[in-house]
Amino acid sequence: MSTTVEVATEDAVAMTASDLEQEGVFGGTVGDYTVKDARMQCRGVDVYYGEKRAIKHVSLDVGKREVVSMIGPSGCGKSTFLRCLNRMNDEIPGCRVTGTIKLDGIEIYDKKLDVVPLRAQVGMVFQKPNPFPKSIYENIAYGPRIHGLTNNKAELDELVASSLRKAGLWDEVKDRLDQPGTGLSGGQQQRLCIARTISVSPEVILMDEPCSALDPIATAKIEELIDELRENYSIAIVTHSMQQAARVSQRTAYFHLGDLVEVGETNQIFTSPNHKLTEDYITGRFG
Amino acid sequence: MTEVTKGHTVRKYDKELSNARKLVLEMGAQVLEQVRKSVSALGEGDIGLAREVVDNERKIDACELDIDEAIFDLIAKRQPAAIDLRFILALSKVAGDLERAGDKAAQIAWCAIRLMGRTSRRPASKKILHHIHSLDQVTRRLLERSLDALAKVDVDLALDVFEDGSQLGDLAGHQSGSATADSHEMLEDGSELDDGFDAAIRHAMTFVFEDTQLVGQVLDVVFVLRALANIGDHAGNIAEQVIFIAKGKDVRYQNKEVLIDALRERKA
Repeated sequence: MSTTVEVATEDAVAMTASDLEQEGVFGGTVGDYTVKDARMQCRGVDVYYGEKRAIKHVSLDVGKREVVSMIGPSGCGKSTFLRCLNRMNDEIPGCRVTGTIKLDGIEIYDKKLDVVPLRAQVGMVFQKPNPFPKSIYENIAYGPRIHGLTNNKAELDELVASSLRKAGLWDEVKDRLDQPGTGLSGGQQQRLCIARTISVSPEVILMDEPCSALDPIATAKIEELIDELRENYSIAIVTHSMQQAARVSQRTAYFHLGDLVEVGETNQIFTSPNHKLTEDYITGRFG
Repeated sequence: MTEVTKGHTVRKYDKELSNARKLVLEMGAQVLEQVRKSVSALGEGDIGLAREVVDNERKIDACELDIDEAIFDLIAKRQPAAIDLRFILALSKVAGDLERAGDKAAQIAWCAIRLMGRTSRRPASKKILHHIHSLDQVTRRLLERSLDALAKVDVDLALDVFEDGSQLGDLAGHQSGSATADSHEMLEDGSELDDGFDAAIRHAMTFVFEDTQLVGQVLDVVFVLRALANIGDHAGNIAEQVIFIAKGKDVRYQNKEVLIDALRERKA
């Protein structure tokens, strides 16, 4: 009689937090920061605000059709890192970024690169909904118009409608497209901003705490939308809500004082993180 | 030993976790006492003690309900993650194992009551009870050690339970869910397992050959042996949960000998 039994190999046994602690708190990022099908590849990224080093040699991929969430206590550098991905930090005086960040294999910090099309390719949704003080229609139409994405009014109308549909807002606003975007509720405004981002056909959408100003129902709608958008876009999201990171993302990256401490499958990070700092943070023991 | 006691920012969360843990450990202590009393009632022919065990079973069931409620509250209010989540899930499973171990203690007590009826209220012969005595010692030590491992979240103690559990297999011939390829080979060889449960049954059967009226008593003894072996198995399950808490690794249905080697080697 022969019986095969599942055997726990040495590799299969997770390192305990204490094992890792002995190796040094910042002995490099724990977990594989690469993905097979990367849309963006960041390697050895450092960010300085004047003399202060805000991001310390961070390497991380953003895969195609995935949501990667970045979590960590306030001031850990997660938003700073996110803003490197479409050169938003260029706007901050004294901010310096080193290392390489590639979008589809092209270095985005190349001096010859025009940031305007880059920011269309890598769109951003902010913490507070920031619609233009214009009509709902114009909020969406503005981007495609300046990027010359449509040839005539009919095409533009169709693009506005499809963007609003993708953002799950069409049914709520189709009869009042000429009314101001600022007249919508907070959750609707945020979806309008997402529709605005989608309208210029981005490859990557960056979201910086997109739900922190919203109520739970509006938050749920945005989360549902993120899940749908994942089929066509790469999404990197910074969130203070660990439950949100657990719900919406496939991979999670934990930042601490400018270091990328651990990155891994979201399920693994939230059930058996390998680094003590990650565990302490997600269990609410500090942060 | 794994650190699970470092405080949360929300201190009330610590209290709630520690309360759930306390409830489970208290339940464990009660089940241990139930097992001790049930076997003692059997050995001494003490019907009063056996009835006490049967009555106390309801208290054990109530403990499980309390633990479930505490765990529901924790999950609903705190959305535990990582080690807290593993700890809470493990406590829930341990409570289930303890409840079933408590049932087995009550079954032993019922056997004691039946045996007293069969023997005209005289304790059963020491010879018949011989194997029960040895098994009781091992079983209670296993349960005690598994609870100790849980209290301290101590992987080494949990591994000791797996190691000692194999003694239980030798004594009772009991195959747990963790039966290994080796133990199947033993079964084929008919060596060690024959020395255990089969030997205990054969020994008990000799009493039947001598006096057929002892069939009822012998059957009760077999029930008790099986119940004790099951309790030992629940202790093994508790030890598996300790590994799950500490290592984040689900080791149920795995070859325990290989697991012990892997974890001890890693430590060394």
